[in-house]
Amino acid sequence: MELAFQYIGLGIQSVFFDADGQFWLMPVLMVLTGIISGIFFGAIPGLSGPFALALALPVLTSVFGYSNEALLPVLGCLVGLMKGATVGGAVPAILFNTPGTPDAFLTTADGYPMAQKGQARKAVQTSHFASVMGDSFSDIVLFVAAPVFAVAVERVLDLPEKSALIILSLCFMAAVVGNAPLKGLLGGLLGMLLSLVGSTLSGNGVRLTLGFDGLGSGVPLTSAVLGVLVLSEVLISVEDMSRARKARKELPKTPEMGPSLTWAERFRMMPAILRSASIGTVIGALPGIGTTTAATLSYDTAKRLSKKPDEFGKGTPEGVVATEAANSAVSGANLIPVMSLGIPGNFAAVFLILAVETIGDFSFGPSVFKFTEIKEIEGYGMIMNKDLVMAFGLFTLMVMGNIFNWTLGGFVMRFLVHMARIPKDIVMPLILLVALTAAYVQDGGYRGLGTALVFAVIGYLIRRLQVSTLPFVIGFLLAPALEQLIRGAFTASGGDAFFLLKSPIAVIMLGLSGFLIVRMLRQGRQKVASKS
Amino acid sequence: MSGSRLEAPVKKAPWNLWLGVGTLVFGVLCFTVWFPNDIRGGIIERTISGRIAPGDSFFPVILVGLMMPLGLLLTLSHFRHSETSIGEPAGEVTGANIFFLVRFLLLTFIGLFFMSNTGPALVWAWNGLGFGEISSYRAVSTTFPINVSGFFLGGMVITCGFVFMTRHCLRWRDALICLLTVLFLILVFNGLLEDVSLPPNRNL
Repeated sequence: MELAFQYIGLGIQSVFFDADGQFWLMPVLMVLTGIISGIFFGAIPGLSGPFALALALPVLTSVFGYSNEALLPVLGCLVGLMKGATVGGAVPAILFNTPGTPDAFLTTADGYPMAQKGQARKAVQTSHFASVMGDSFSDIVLFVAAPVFAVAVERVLDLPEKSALIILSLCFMAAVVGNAPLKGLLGGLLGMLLSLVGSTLSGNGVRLTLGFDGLGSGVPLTSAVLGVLVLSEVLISVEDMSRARKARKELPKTPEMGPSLTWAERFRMMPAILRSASIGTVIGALPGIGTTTAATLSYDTAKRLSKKPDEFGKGTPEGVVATEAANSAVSGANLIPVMSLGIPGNFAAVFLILAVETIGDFSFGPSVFKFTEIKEIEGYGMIMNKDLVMAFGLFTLMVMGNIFNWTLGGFVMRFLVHMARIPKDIVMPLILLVALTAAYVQDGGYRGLGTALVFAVIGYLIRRLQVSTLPFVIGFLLAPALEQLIRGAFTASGGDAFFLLKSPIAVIMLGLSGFLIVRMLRQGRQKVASKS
Repeated sequence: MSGSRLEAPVKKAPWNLWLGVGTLVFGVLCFTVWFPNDIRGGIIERTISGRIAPGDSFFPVILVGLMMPLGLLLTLSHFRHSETSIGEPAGEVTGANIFFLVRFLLLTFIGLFFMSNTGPALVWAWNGLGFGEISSYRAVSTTFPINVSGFFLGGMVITCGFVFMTRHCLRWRDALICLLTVLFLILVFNGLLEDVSLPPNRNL
C-alpha cells in the first residue's frame, strides 16, 4: 500500500514539476484551456468532443513536440476538451432545443420545456451540476477500477487470452454499435488489414504497399483517423445540408432565464444523480456503447422510479438530471478499458490512444499498472515504473479538470448563448479546412493530406452503408498489438494450429465472440421483421 | 459521430449482396494476386534455430480468412430474406452520392492546386514584371507574406466553395468568416508555432 501511495505522490508531483524538478503549471493550464475550449466547442451545433480532440491533437503536437515531457500537457488538454464538450452541449439543447453534441440530445426532452416555462437558468444549472457530478463519480470509479482490472488481467491473461480479449472486444463493439454487426465486424477486419500496410515483423521488408514507395513507412495514423472520423462526418453533413434546400430555421429568442437552482434543490437531486451516474459508469465501461444508450437507459429508469412520471418530457429537472449525469459519467468510465487494456471504447478514447501512440514512449495497457519497487541505483538513478507515474499524473489532471468544471464551468456556460447561433453550414466547411491543414502539418505534408482524403472517402462510404466507423477505427488502431500477441502465442505454442484454443479462458472468450455475433444477427433480423 | 444516424429506415437493398460478393472477390484477389506479390515472407517460417514462427503473411491471411466467411454470410443473407427476415439493414451509395464525392474531391483539388501554385506564380509574375530576380519560390518560402499566399488563396477557395455548396449562395458575411478563419490558421500555424509549415512549404 505504501508503494501505491508513493506512486500516487510521484504522479501528482509530475503534474506540477517537470523532469528537471522545476515548478511548472503547463499541464494544469492546458487542462483549463481544454475545459474552456471544450465547453465552447460543445455548444456549437454539429460539433462534438471527438471533433475538438481530432482538431486539437495535431496543433498540440506542433506546440509541444513528441517528447515524454509533452505527454501531460497534451493529454491534459485532450481530457479537458472531452470533459468541457460534454458540459457545453447541454446549453443550446436547453435554450434552443438544439443539442450542441449528440450526448445532449435527450436533454432537450425536459431542458427545453423548462426553459419555455421561464426556468432556463435552473435548467442550465441543473444540467451543469448533474453533469459534473456524474463525471466526477465515474472518474473515481476509473481511478479504482482501472488499476485493479489491469493487475487482474496481467496476472491471469497470457498471450492467447489477451489475443482472444481483443477479438472479443472487437466483436462486442461490432455487435453493439449500430444495427449492422456483420458489416461492423467486416469494417473492423478491413481496418486491421489497412493498418498493416507498410509494416513488417519478420524483417523481410515492408508489405502490402502496392508498389508505392510512399506507403513504405506505413499509413499515417493521425491523418487516417482524421479522415475516417472527422472529414467523413463533414462530408455527410455538407451533403445533407446541400440537399436540404428548405428555408433555414431561425433559432428562437433566448428565453427568460428565471430563478437560480438552490442548494436545497441540489441536495435533493443527489440520489437521482448517483443512480444515473452509476448507470452511465456501467454502460461507459463497456467498449462501444455510447452516451446515447446510457442517457436513454437512465432516463427510462428515472421515469419508471419517479413519483411523477407524467411530468417527464414536460419540463422536470429529474429528466435533465437523468440524462446529463448518465452521459457525463460515460466519459470517465470509457477510459477503464483504455487505461487497463489499451482498448479504446469510444471516439474520444481513440484520440487519447492516438496521442500516446504519437508522443513519447508511454502506452496504455495492463503493464502500466505494475507496481514495481522504487529503487535508487548508483549510476542509473531512480528505477521505477514511469508509465505508472504517468498514469497517476493523468488521473491528477482529470481531478483538476473536474475542479475547473465545478468552479468555472457554470460561469463559462453563461456565455454560450451566442455559440448556439453559429450556423452549422458555415462551421462544417471551416472544420474541413482545419482538418486538412492539421493532416498536412501532422503527417508529412501532402502524404498526410492525401491519406486523410482517401480515408475520408472510405469513412463516407462506410457511413452511407449504415455501418459504424468505430469498429473500423478500433481495428485500425489495435491491429499492430493484436498481430504481436497472436504471433507470440503461435510461436510459444510451437506452431500449433489451434494455439488460441489451448487455454480455457481464451476458448470462453472466443466462444463469447461467436455467440455475440450470432445473437446480434438474430436480434437484428427480429427487429427488422417487427419493423416491417 | 453520433450513433443516431445509424437508425436509418430499413430496406431490402442490393448493397449487402454487392458488399458480400465484393468481399469474396477481394479475398480471392488477396490470396492469389496481392499477398503473393506484395508480402515477401511466408505464412509460417522456420527460424535458423529450427523453431516454427509466423511469417509476414500470417496475420494478413488470418484477417482475410475471417473476412471471407463474413462476406459469404452477407451474400447468403441477401438471398435468404423472406417476409419475416430481410437480413442486415443496408444503406446505399447512389449516383448522387458519387456525384457529390466527385464534386468534393474536385473542389478540394482545385483548392490544393491554388495552395501549391500561387506562391510560384507570384514569383514568376514578380520576375516577369521586372520588380527583381528571385531564383525560385523555394528561395522565398520562408518570407512572409509570400510563404502563406498559397494557403491563403487555396484556403479561401476551399472554405468559400464548400459554404456555397451547403448554402447554395455565398454572402459577404460568409466570405468574411472564411477570411477570418484562414487568417487565424495562418496566425496560429505560421506565426505562433515554430517548425511547422503550411501547404505547400513542407513539400518543397
